[in-house]
Amino acid sequence: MARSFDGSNDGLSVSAPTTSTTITMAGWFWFNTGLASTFAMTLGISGSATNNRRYLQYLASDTTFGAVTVNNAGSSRRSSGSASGLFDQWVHLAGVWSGTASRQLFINGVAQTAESTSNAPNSPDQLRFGLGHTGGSPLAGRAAECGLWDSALVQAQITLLALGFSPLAVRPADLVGYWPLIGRTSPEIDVVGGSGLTLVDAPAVAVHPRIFYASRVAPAHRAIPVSTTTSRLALLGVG
Amino acid sequence: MASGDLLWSFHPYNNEPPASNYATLDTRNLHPVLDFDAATDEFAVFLWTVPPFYSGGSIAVKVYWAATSATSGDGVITSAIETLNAQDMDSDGFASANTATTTCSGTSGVCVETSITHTSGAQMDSIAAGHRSRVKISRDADAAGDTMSGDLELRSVDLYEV
Repeated sequence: MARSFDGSNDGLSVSAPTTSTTITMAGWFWFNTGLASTFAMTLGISGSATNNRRYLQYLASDTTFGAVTVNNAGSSRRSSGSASGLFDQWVHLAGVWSGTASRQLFINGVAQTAESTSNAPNSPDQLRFGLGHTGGSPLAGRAAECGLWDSALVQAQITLLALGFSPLAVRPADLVGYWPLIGRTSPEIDVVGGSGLTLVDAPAVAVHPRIFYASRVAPAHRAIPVSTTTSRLALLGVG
Repeated sequence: MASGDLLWSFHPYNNEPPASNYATLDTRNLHPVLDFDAATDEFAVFLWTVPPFYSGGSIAVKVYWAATSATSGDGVITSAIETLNAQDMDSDGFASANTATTTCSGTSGVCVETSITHTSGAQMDSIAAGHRSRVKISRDADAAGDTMSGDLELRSVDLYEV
């Protein structure tokens, strides 16, 4: 299952797993038709109004998705791409923030134009899904399989994620948080970092997107029947 | 004796989901499961290698599952087998599916087993020891005999030579 948000006050929240300025945020998101501007995934400062954030968003005024940086003065820099035709379905969004220098959005694995103006928010203390840091701009939709890396993933790695491979399959050494958002636990489990997400209000459960997981195969090993003492000794290398 | 040998086991995380109508991952008391819808046929696909000790007999596909919430009714499950030996990966080559029906447990969290037998040869796309192969599992949700309400939760699939 995945997590579903009601567009009113549902969200997920935890202390920031990293304060690195070079990060990648990625996940599968579902945006309901007709929703207002919303935050999908936000790393910022709790209660810091509209400032000091890096986030993936939907902006209703121009029907675009964005990977955004806002500094302490409220100056915003955004890499964006069209959201047209991408409602009421799972969409993979990824944002790569390369220090304070640039940010780039990827929609279903396709790179959008990077925005490369220096912009430095203050160090974050909170990660949120589906809500801003003051509780505003709630998501009406869903989220699943979200990852946070303290490095800048490259195109090939974003492509893997957009193909449906679990974040565990992509640069796992830099994966500081991975939230499958199965929707059955409270808090929501962080598989790699221990940063379980506190449920804000009551996000519901929804059907999970299509994901390929790294898993160990389970072949069978045939038992060798041993019916005589001679055979047992032979197996032991005796006689 | 080859009969009775466990050939392979699949778990929910082994699923290679198709592009559409795929069974979806869920957990039940932290048990990973694959949910199969009650109204729409959904599928799970698993890759395996036919072990060298497979002696060419029939194969029983044993699906271990529970109802999400139902305590009565029947689930209809199908399995189909495909060999990747000389199979173009750009298309599917599954043999025709076989079907079996099982009544769910009177306690929704208790698993039951559905065993589906494929006779050697065409029913298993003529797989042989050493072949790479895929097994496709589905719930025939729109079958008249599928009377169980709510999702069917797959916990594991085992392949036995019989």
